[in-house]
This record gives sequence, structure tokens and C-alpha cells, in this order.
Amino acid sequence: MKMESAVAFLRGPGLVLAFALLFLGILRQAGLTAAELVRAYRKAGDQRIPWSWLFRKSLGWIVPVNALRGTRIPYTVASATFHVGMLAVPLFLAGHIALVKKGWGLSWPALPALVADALTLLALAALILLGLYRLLDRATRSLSGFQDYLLLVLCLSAFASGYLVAHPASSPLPFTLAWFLHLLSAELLLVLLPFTKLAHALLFPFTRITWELGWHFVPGAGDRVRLALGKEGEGV
Amino acid sequence: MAEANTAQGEGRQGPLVGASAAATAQAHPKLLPHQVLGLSYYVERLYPGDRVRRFLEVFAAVLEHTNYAHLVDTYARVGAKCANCACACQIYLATQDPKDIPCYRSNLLLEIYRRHFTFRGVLQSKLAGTVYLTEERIRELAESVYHCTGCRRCSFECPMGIDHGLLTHLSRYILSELDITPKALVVATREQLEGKTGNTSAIPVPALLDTLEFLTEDIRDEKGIEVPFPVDQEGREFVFFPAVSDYLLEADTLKGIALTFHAAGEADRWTIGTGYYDGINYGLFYSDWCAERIIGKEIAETKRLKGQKILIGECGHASRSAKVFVPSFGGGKNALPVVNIMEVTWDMLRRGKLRLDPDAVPERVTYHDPCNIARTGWIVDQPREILRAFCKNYVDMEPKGEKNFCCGGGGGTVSIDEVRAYRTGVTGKMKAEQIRRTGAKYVVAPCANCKKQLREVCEDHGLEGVEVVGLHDLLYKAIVL
Repeated sequence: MKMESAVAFLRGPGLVLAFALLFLGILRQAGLTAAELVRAYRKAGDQRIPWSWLFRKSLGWIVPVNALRGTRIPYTVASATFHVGMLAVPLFLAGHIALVKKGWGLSWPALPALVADALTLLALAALILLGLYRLLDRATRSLSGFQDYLLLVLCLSAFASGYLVAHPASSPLPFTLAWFLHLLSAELLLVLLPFTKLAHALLFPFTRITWELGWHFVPGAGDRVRLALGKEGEGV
Repeated sequence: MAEANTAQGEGRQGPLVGASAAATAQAHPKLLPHQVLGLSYYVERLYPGDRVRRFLEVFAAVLEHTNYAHLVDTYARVGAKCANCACACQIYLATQDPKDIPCYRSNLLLEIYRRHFTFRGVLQSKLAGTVYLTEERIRELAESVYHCTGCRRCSFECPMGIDHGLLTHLSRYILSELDITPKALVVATREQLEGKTGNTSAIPVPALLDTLEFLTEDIRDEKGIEVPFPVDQEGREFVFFPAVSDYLLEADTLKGIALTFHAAGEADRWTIGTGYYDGINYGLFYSDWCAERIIGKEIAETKRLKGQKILIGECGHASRSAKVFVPSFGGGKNALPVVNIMEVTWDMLRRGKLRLDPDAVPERVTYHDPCNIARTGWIVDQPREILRAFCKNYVDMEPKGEKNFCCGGGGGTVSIDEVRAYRTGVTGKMKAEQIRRTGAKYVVAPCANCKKQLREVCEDHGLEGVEVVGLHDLLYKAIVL
């Protein structure tokens, strides 16, 4: 009984709340990013920005083929596979689209169920590999903190429980429990997206221009910093 | 921009802030400044007051007035902690120490930002009643950012596009305003900006003129022709700024450059100015304030001589600092163009102005890409085309070009003599192995920093018989007059 009321909450007010927080978070990120980019651009001594080069650079990063040229091929292939699943399945799953249509009357083409299943299983395999890296690779483990493990577990849980919800006949878990887990982890991910490192989903398109503007120095800034610090007139 | 969270430091003289340098210095009056902080490089002095508070004041002022704020804020949010950068970093590959992972190093600064300059961080500190930044954390940052050579190889690997090299530069800039900068860099920069000679090697004008005369004599003896170095000629296309130390240490490079212009019949394109003749800009390594003032001297001298372009000699950081800072500090789209000497020589060769003896250098030759020239893909193929034109036995290192390994002395560390063992043993280890694999007799390194470092690397790694030279040193042998 309790589980069912929890599911009812997560399907109703919980979902609305999650999307509301996500929306507010996106607004905040977009507002801050736009304001800061404009501020940096206006202060820059050199305002020539190589837009097409930046665009190509950004695109270069998201073409999965490039993953095959890096130094850490299994990691980058797993990462690319996971990201394809993470973008395609939540947005283009027939079940999700049906829910949106029921609620808001919007609809778009869905992935065939088989493709969605395959992408889900691939994403799960990729997540397990990424998790192994985090646990076993010396360098990655030493950088990892609570957030890194939490987000990994939430993604695993969202995909795994989602698969079980879609295939109740072969599920070892009671349907309601799987559903609860799916709603909980997915909604937590939505809420956390703007406030954790998942923010890269929003900020990714801007990281290259941010980097470029970082190298566009501000004339006179060094003097103003020293003035603010009371070091005016001091030598090197 | 959020106010620095310094108020806590004032009200709460707890053990974290209280156990600061003043106390340490009193307890050990004979400690040198770098020993007080436990740094491996010498510093001239330390900020005498509360360094934690001062660090945050400097950070706040820098975020307010420069263009780093958005960069730091974005990077503080998106770091994936994937450690891909570790695979690209030659220091981590040599030490396997997690503290040498680029992302770890960047996070030292980013965490200070998160904890003291974001709403969440300030709230966290208030609730916990602690101050995050401590003298020990400043020490760790100060040591770490001078382990990094600023080669920016890791920037290719970061899926989030974090430029760890720029964060190292920013950390060093903040630290420099607390006087935590290697003494070797500060002393040279002071002479350049405030000293009598106005250059980092303290070469006065009469000594410069003597050197040029001597070089001309040398060329006369070796080649039997008169090749004067043009001095203070107005209206030339290029005003020339090599690393000034070349006038003391790299006579062959300078002779090669002069002979190249002469042989191409284009000696009237360039001039050296006696008003200012130093391309070195340590500002790139540690201070935006110094960088702007130094670049102002290059621009002023070029304008004084009515030159059209700034020509940088064989020097990586001088080239990159001019390429980045001249547009930033010299008027954006109206700024003077910046050219590296290898581009000019390559262009002469392409136009058929240079006759080279294809058998001039029979020994095996390899080319080391200076990070500051090659990492952005600026100059990669031109020097190879020049070398292949007269070296019968040219081989490339692997990896090369944009993905080369640093010589191990980048980011100004080559000038810090007290860290030589670290520079050649750890940061230069990868390069030593690369050079050994090529089996080359000549390693061509068109950069004053790389040359000094690679010579020391070869010495410390027993690479006997390897000669580190400039591009124009070899070209000098091959030019047919």
C-alpha cells in the first residue's frame, strides 16, 4: 500500500515538482551564462572571436568517432555509448511520449521498442564499465567523490528499473517496486541536473566559447587588481 | 560577483587561520621565506600578514577585474572527474601520483572558488563554522602549480574542455600578488620592467652592439661574406625580438637568422631596435599585470621604429605571449600582427628565395615541437618542411605536433635552477625516452627554454652525442650563397 502511494506521489506532484525545479535550474544557468559571456566579451581587449572554429571544435567533441582516436579508448567508447542512450531513450521512448501526449497533447516520433531496448542494455553495460573505471582505475578513483558515485548509481538505477518496467514478465522485482525505483531515480536526476556536474548537459555548448574568452585578456585589469589591493605604485 | 568569504577569517581566529606564517616565522626566525611555506623553489619574500585572508582578497579582485570569472564558475560546475587528463600528462605518467593529475591540480583552485565565492559554499562554511582555505592549502597550490609545466596537452583530453593550463596560469597569477613566485622569474622580470638595461638578461645596449659586431665577424670568417645586423632601421616590415638570452647563449641561431635574410636578398625587411630587444615575457607564466607591461614595450618599440609587424625569434613562450597578448592589450583588430621567424623563413623557402644544400646535414635530425608554438596547431609543418629540404635523415618523434610531449621545462620552470633534478628526472623523463628512440644526433628545438632544458635532460639521462640546436643553427650550415 505504502509503495503504491509513493508511486502515486512520484507520478503526480513529484513529477511536476521535478520538472519545475529542472526548469528553474535551467533558467538560472542560462541567465548566468548569457550574462557572464556578454560581460566577458565586453571587457575583452580583442573582440574577434573565431566562431566557426569554435563551432567545429565543439562539434568535434560530440562526434563519437573521435573517441576512437583518444588515449583511453574503452573509457571514451563507454562514455559515448552511455551518452547516446541517455539522450535517446528518455526522449524518444514510446512510453514516455505517450505520457507527454496524455498530459500536454504533444507528440513526436518514437524509437522502435527493440532499438530502445538495445540502447538501454548498451547504456547499462557502458555504465558498469564506467563504474569499474571509477572504482578500479587509480587516477579516476583518486579524483572521485560522493557526487560522482551517487550520479552513477542513479543513472544505473534509472536505466535498469526502466527496463524492468518495460518488461514486467521477465522482472525479478515486483512491478510497483521497479516503477517506484524508476520514478525516484529519474526524478532525482532531473532535479540534480542543473545543480551538480550534470550541468554539463546544459553548459556543454558554451564551454568552448568560455575557454576562448578566458584567453581574451582585459586591458588594464592588472593595474585595477593592484589598485584594489592597495599595491598602487609598488614595483615587481 | 559574490563577495569573498573573508569575514569569517576576521571574527574567528581559530587554529586554522591562527597557525599562519607569522606564528611559524616567529617560532623559526632563521627560516628562509620558501622554507616557511615548505616550497621547493626560492621566493624573495612572503606577504607578512594573514595570507589566507590576503589570498581571498586577491582572488576576489582578480575575479572582479579580469575575464576569468565566467571561466572559473563554469569549470567549477562541470568537472567530470574522469581522469582522462591523467593519460595525457607526462608528469602523472612519470610519477603515478594522484596529486599530479591535471584535474586534481585545477580542483585545488576550483574548490577554493566553490567554498568561498559561491552561495552554496559560503552557506556550507557558515553552517559548519569552519574556514575552508588554510595556509596548508595555499602551500599545496603553490607547490602544485609549479610542478605543472603549463604544456596544455591535457586540454585535448578533457571532455568538458577544461583548460587546466589556463587555471594553472590563473593560480600562479593570484599567488604572485602574495609574492609567492619563483625568485628567478621575479628577478628577471624586475630587471626587464624596472631595471637599467630593460631586459631579462641585463644586457646593456653597448654589449648588444658588440655582440652583433662579433656575430658579423664570425659570419665573415666562416662564410666569407659581410652580413651586418640591421639596427634601429625605421620603416622595416619586422622589428625583431628574440629571447634576449640568445645574444649570450645562442649565437648560431642569430647568425642563421641574419644569413637567411641576407641569402634571400631580403635583409631590408627586418631590424633590431636598441630601445627594446627582448622577446621574453614571463608574464605568460605568472602574472597578467607583468604580461601587459612587457607586451607594451614590444609594441612601443615596433611603433617607434615604424615597423609593421612584431617578429619573434626562436622562442616558444615569447611567440605565444605575443600572439595572445598583443591583440588583447594592443587594440584588438587594430593590433600589430605577430609573426614567428620560422614562418618567415618557410615563406622565403616556398617563394624559392633560399638555395639549400640537400646534403648539408647527413646526420639524423629530429624536431621537438615547443608547446607554445605547436599545441594550438599554429606552427607544426613549416619547420619540418624547412628541415626536410636539407636534412637527408630526418625523423619525427612520436607523438608530435599538437600532441607532442613538453620538454619538461615549460611554464618558466626551466629558469628555476633549484628544481633541476625534478625537471629532468620527472617532467623531462618522457622527452628523454622520446629522443633516445629517435636515435638522432641533432634535436632541433626552436625555443630558448626548450634548448636549455633539453641540454640538461640529455646530460642527466646520459644521452651522449645528442646535440640540441635551433632550426636556424642547422640552416646556417645548409644555405648556399
